[in-house]
Amino acid sequence: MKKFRVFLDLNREEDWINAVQATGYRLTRVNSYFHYYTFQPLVATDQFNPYTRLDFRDKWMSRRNYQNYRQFFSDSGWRLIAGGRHGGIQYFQQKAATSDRDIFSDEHSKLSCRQRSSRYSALCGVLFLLYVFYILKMMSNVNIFDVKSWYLTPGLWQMQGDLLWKAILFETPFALLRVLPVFLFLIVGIYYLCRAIDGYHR
Amino acid sequence: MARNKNLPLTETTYYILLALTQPRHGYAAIQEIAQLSQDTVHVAAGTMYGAIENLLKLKWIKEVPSNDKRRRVYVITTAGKSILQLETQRLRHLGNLAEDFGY
Repeated sequence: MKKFRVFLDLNREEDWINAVQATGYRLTRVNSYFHYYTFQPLVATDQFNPYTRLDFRDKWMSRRNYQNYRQFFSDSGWRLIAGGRHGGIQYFQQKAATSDRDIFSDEHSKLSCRQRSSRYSALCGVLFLLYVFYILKMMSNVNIFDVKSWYLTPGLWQMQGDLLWKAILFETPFALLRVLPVFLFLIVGIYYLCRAIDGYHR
Repeated sequence: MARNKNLPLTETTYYILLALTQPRHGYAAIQEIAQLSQDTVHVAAGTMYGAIENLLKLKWIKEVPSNDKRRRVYVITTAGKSILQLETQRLRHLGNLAEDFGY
């Protein structure tokens, strides 16, 4: 079962995953770029219904550091489902019913994990939006809210009939290449800022 | 007398420093703490990992070379020992004080 969801907050994401798992599934894969979560139904050989917990890493780790990190969680009874050494959310699942119920044993450490995530989102949001403003400044002749200005061909809008449609058909891929990255960066930037603002609110 | 700004230590920090009197990797330290506290203190993995990062930054513990390539091994430093000493004096003083009050 695949599900698409976007979350602004690690606690809500974790609660949602565990709520889905409680209905007889386990999380097996996470696509963090497209926000797809893959769940598999529990089978008879699964002895228990595992908890999945989220940790957040805000720094790149060397191969050796990341191996140490994974090994340490593995020793403590947690299997890494998704995540990477270049930072971001790390999804851990209980290996056995006897594993701890949570990866945090006090409020303070859980809070500082969530703060790491908010700070990281704030930084990403600012960088993405700065890039968008920079690009828009560079392309001062293109107004992203005015579709006609996406087409830079001189005299395009004075063309008549068939010629106009052929020209538009030919130019559209170039126009889209010009503006789609800007929209993409704008959306991603706003998404990260929302995550950061949501985090600072609690 | 001004008190060291890092005091008081949390119970978790105190136990980690005690457990790392001997060189240990992270999970071995968790097990040692459970045993030392008669199973009353159980440090979870994420909490322990964050605490180790923090103690390394404070230079109260350091990494020591080991044969196990997959697990980093840590031990308390001189700075860590002196903070543990200060905290123990503080706790001992509190204990003695409470005793004077009949507890």
